[in-house]
Amino acid sequence: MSDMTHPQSFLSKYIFSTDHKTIGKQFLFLGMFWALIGAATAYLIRWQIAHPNTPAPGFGIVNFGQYNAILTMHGTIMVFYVAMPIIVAAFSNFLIPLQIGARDMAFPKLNALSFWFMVLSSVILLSSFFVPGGAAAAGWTGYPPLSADPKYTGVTWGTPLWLLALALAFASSTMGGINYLATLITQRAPGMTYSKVPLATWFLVAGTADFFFSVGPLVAGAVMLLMDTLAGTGFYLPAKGGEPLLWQHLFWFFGHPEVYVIFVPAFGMVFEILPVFSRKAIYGYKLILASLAVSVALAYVVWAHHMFISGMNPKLAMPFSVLTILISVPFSIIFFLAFATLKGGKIKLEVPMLWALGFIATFLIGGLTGIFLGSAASDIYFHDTYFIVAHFHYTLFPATFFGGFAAVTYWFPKMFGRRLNEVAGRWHFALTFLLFNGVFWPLFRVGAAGMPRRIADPSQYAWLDQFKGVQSVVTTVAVLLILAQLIFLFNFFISLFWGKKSEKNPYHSATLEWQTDSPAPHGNWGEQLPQVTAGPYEYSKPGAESDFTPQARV
Amino acid sequence: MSSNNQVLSGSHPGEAGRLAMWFLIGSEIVIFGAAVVSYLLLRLNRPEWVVDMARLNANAGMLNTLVLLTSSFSMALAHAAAEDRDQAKVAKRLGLTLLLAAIFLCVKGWEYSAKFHHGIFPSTNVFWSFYFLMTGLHALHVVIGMIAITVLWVRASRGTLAPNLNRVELTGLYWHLVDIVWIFLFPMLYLS
Amino acid sequence: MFPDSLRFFDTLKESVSTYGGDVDHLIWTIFYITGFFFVVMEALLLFFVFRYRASRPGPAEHLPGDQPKSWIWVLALAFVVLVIDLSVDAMGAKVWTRIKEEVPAEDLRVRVWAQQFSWDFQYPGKDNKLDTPDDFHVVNELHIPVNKKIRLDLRAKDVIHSLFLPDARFKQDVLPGREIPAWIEITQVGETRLYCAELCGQAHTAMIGTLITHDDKSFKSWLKEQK
Ligand code: HEA
Ligand code: HEA
Ligand code: CUA
Ligand SMILES: [Cu+2]
Repeated sequence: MSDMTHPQSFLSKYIFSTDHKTIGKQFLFLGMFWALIGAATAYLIRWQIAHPNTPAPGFGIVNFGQYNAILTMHGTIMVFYVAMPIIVAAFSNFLIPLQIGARDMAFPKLNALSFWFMVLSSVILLSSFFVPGGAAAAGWTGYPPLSADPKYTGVTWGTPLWLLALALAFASSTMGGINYLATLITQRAPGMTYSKVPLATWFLVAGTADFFFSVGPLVAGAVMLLMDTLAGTGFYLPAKGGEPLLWQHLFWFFGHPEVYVIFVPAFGMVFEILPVFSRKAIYGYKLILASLAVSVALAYVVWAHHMFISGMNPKLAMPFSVLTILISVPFSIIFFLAFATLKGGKIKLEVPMLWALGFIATFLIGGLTGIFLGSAASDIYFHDTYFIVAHFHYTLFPATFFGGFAAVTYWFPKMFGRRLNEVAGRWHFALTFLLFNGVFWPLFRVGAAGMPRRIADPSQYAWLDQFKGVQSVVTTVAVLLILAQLIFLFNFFISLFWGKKSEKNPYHSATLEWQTDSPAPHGNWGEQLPQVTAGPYEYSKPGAESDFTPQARV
Repeated sequence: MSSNNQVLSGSHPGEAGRLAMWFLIGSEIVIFGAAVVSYLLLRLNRPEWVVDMARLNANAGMLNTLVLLTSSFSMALAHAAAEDRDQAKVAKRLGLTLLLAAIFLCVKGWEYSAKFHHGIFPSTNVFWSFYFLMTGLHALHVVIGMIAITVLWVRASRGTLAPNLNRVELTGLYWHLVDIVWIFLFPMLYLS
Repeated sequence: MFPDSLRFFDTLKESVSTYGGDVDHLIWTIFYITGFFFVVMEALLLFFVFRYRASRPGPAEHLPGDQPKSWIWVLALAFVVLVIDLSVDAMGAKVWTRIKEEVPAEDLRVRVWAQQFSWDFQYPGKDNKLDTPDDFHVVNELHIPVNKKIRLDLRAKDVIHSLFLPDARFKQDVLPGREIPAWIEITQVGETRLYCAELCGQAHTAMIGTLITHDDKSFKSWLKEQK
């Protein structure tokens, strides 16, 4: 509180800050750091698939045990240490208070604590690469009995450390989640009624709600798995009277909502960008929110679509299959309304808009291919093949990176007070879009041929020889995809220090965060809180003096 | 700067705190709920667990139920005293709550050690795994609650709790959760 | 059944089981439905970006769509999606029930033992009963007669595995501690693929076998060779 009046030291301003904007940036940098490691794991996976048992440049031979560990870490890192920090934590922190006209989060100290838990969790996960026995190697889904007993994998310390790191990450997200929810409810500026709250904030909070009430079972489940590995219990071990499917239920009860925790906020940020660069109001704001609520609720009751052929009672499959496919109804509404928002606009293809449109174009493929898996009978064939690998990269990658780059490029001026380079941004988009599709599109066809996922050595399957050429092209394209990210990293760090200074509201956006200075000052607003008078998307209103009406004059 | 202080620390500090506590309680209920549902699902196919259940000391469990219920009551009284802004009374009633919580833990500890003496450990079979998992998690929550109550109790007895009296209510909410969880665990483990 | 030129899934090999055709039909139906939405919506997106580009004259249209009556077309489309969903469900339910819920009376019963990292097939022997002294085991080769209903009793010895017979459109996880009933009926003589589809440890990648389908005569002579 006294921060506003007292000068801040470097430490309290940048390191142990409780300012939500700084914490948001800290999460962003943490996520970017992990993205580099995630990319390295992706490279090793791709190398081994295309050139099995030959030394990967820069690493050496990837043996089977290492492959499984790298694969497990790849999934864990990308989902919990890249997507969650960037999409959920960084932007919830940075955006929610700015968009609703608060000075900070409801609980700034808890917020800072949430970041430091994530740092601790990161240190533990990183260190698990180097313990004897190596990192956890039972897949990011960690199914027991495989994960529960070292004798099955040879992994000793890796599994408990993996669980501990995840537990800390969940604690971090829970602290953050309490904050996001409480902030939206209690910290809105005068006049900021719920129907004036921008969609990005709504979607971020909706994602958090999905996280918040689904993570509990996995916490309980993780404690049980930890006891199975360390205390000799047998919750999941049939030999000791336990039940292996119990873990799968607990994991997916969380795991399915979790993928929406990532996807929903990304779509929210895309919705923030569409109106600005087409100079049009969001079409059907309230209908979007209603569909969002339905999808977020449905997310809780579809988890067993990951378990159709797990050996659970086959009679349960049909209800879950029907509910799963039903999700396409609210999602289709959200898609149609995004299209309606574009219709009749003045579409300007600036870099954030390119990412937003790219998100829609690519995620559509991921969403539609979900139907093949949601129908239990066709999932008999596709389950655990590369078709699924392609499906979830076509959903997670657009959410994490198309959504992430859309958000970073759009809010960069507000975060750092400077502009990114537009030409580099366009190249980065074009290359990433092409190369991403180049990596994962062919994998649908490879999956349809029956190639199983999580195999360390495709050369053992003679019939996979027909794909040797495809696989090595895919790997080359994946390496290029990773290299293309250097354009972004250079652009980001050079612009951070030397970019063109940005004005307050460079894109003429209506939402609150653009009405304060760039970068937003400590405390966000001057002496007076903004008085909100307009909705978030009043663009091109006939008779208005300019083509947008800011939510408040600051 | 007073107007700014007001907004910086949240426009309705009490409300935000209460909300946060309810969210926390919600997420705790999901954790315990998952453990309970897992237990019940396994229990359905394992009639042989009755034998193990019979080895639990239902009297000790009953005693602990009463102890915890009483502590919930004294916690509610402490909240009432906090509403009256009477710190001395708050301190007394929190002290009573702490004492009862300590009794609960002693009984629990005695039960555990009796089990260990008879060679019963979490790894004995899945029933005992669940027993130790759920009562252990619950005991952990008792300890966390006791830490929070101790902090309030020290401050209240020194008479320095005045600006934070609303924390008695929040801690009380949490403490009732701890109580309610036990009220589910007791019949499920000891009686069914 | 479908024009070849549209075969995105030309990599999907022909099925060799009685129910394989049902699965394929479902897959192709979903393919055409989602393919339609894919083509239309991507095209529309491109068209919008081009048609409503900023350089065209005049201001943006004002279409806030904030009145429930402006949602009618959206809800109508969503209703179409709902109807499509339900027909996919109805179609899928039939196939699923046939494959996974109704295990028919069998002509031959084989117990499948999955373990790190091989398949062990336990045959009933002459008396046609499992768990009798004349049972015999074959590793990594599942021999069966053509056009016969084969009952597979799946058991795992250690961790979870998954028996995948891609050309039969058959897949089922195999769990330790319980037996899962499953069935196949293969309609073509010959050798096809069999492998493990669930990560089960370091050499999961090497848990590969073969499904060998005999005509009646050669199955009988194969049986004779076994001890
Ligand atoms: C951001 C992440 C994300 C998202 C959004 C989704 C969205 C969906 N997913 Fe996916 N999924 C994953 C990430 C994601 N998934 C991951 C990571 C896995 C694998 C985990 C692992 O095993 O490692 C997985 C696995 C997975 C499975 C398990 C497969 C298996 O292991 O056997 C299933 C099965 O039902 C499934 C289905 C769906 C469906 C139906 C949707 C739907 O929500 C999609 C809905 C959207 C649309 C359908 C598009 C819009 C609608 C229209 C344009 C209208 C027209 C449509 C119709 C007429 C149908 N997914
Ligand atoms: C968000 C999730 C995510 C992302 C982005 C990726 C990205 C990639 N993945 Fe991953 N993958 C998973 C989640 C993800 N993956 C999961 C959950 C699994 C399952 C694991 C399991 O089975 O247990 C999996 C499995 C998996 C497999 C299957 C292996 C197997 O089953 O044997 C393969 C194989 O090709 C693969 C490849 C790749 C490649 C080439 C990329 C490339 O796209 C990577 C390119 C890298 C980058 C783009 C990062 C660099 C970017 C920056 C440094 C900038 C960042 C900054 C900002 C955003 C601000 N992945
Ligand atoms: Cu057995 Cu993989
Ligand atoms: Cu799912």
